[in-house]
Amino acid sequence: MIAIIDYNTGNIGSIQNMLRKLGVESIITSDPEVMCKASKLILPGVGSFDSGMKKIRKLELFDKLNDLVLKKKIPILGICLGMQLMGENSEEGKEQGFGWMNESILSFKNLQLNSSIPVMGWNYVKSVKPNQLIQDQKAKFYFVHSYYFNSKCENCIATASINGFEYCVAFEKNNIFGVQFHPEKSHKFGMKLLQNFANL
Amino acid sequence: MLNRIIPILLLKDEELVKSKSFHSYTYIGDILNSVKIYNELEADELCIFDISSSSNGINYDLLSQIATECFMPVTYGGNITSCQEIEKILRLGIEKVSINTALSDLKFVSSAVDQFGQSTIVACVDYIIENGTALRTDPVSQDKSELVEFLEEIVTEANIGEVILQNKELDGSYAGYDLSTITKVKDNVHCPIVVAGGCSGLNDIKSAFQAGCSGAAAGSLFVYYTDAKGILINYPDSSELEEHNITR
Repeated sequence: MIAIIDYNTGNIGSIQNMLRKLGVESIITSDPEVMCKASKLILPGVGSFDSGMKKIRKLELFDKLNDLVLKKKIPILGICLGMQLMGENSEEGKEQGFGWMNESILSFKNLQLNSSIPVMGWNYVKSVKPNQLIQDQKAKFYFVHSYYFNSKCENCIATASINGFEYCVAFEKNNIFGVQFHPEKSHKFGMKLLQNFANL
Repeated sequence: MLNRIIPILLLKDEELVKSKSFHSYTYIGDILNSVKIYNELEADELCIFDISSSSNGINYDLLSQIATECFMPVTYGGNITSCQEIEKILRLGIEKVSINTALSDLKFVSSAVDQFGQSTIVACVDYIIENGTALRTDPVSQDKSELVEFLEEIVTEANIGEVILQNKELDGSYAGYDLSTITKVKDNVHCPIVVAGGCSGLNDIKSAFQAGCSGAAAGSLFVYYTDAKGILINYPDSSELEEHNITR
């Protein structure tokens, strides 16, 4: 059973819906006891870094998730903001992230990107090393974000480019996975990725 | 980001309908069933416009169901007049909101862009051609303005992320997109454009991308089987797109 962590940011119905379509059972919960019993976790999220971390702490999930992820090694998939919260900190705000990835999240506004921000739309994703989530070299996913992980980020498994600027869009570090894009809005490509995660 | 092919779905009193020249609405079917089909067909994105009377307000329950059902991004437009409404809609899992009537209030549009991000707020602009000039009529005051000037204003003053441009007379006509207006717009206005109105097939979509549109939208094409109007929710598959050399 996959537990989708509900910390009050956005609609996570479509993640559960896509898993249901794949025949994968899941439960949406903010209860750490339920998360303990899950075989895998999904940390979704939309919105700002600080508001995400504050909500996590308010629900007393910070220590619990550290325990489940770092000690019990339960596989966890961070999606969009969820992925960013796994970093150390973000140019977006002041809060400290989980720090599972030794990386800072950076702002597109500090680049001459020639794109409207948030960056929003479909883009092809290139896997840069063998990994468990993305094998299809023609995979494309739907993105909506204003902050990003550097392409040199350790444990980066896939990148995407906007007007020639390449950045990390997925990482894999032991039991910890993160994707910048929204698999639940990327139909068959998203389904393949969630299936791969569910099958681990 | 990649070009998109976008079905436009019209909602009237919770039902899916199709128009011709912005009137003569025909019942098409149930919106959620149609959304499920577009999921199967792997549509890039959906535009859902609620054209019910403004006294109906915004149907958040239905939008929540649509957002949960869709495995692709959704733009919603219809009766949006405040930032609180936009926040509520986005929280349901809708990716973008489209503003049409409320474009007369540029302060509102601008504050929505500031609060929610440029890419989240889309302007939906309908126009007609009068004596060879594209004109936009304000839905409230009925004042006419030149389309290009109107677009320049909303892009500069409100920093809109994208514009959906619809030629009203071509709606439901299968006569092809109004690419000459699109070209004039693209020459003068710096904003991604999604074209709508008149699409008859993949050749029109290809021409739209070649003319510089970031998105090509269609209503009739994706809900009818032929212009004899047998209803069939449809969407081009990858082999059809390859045949026409359309890349996204």
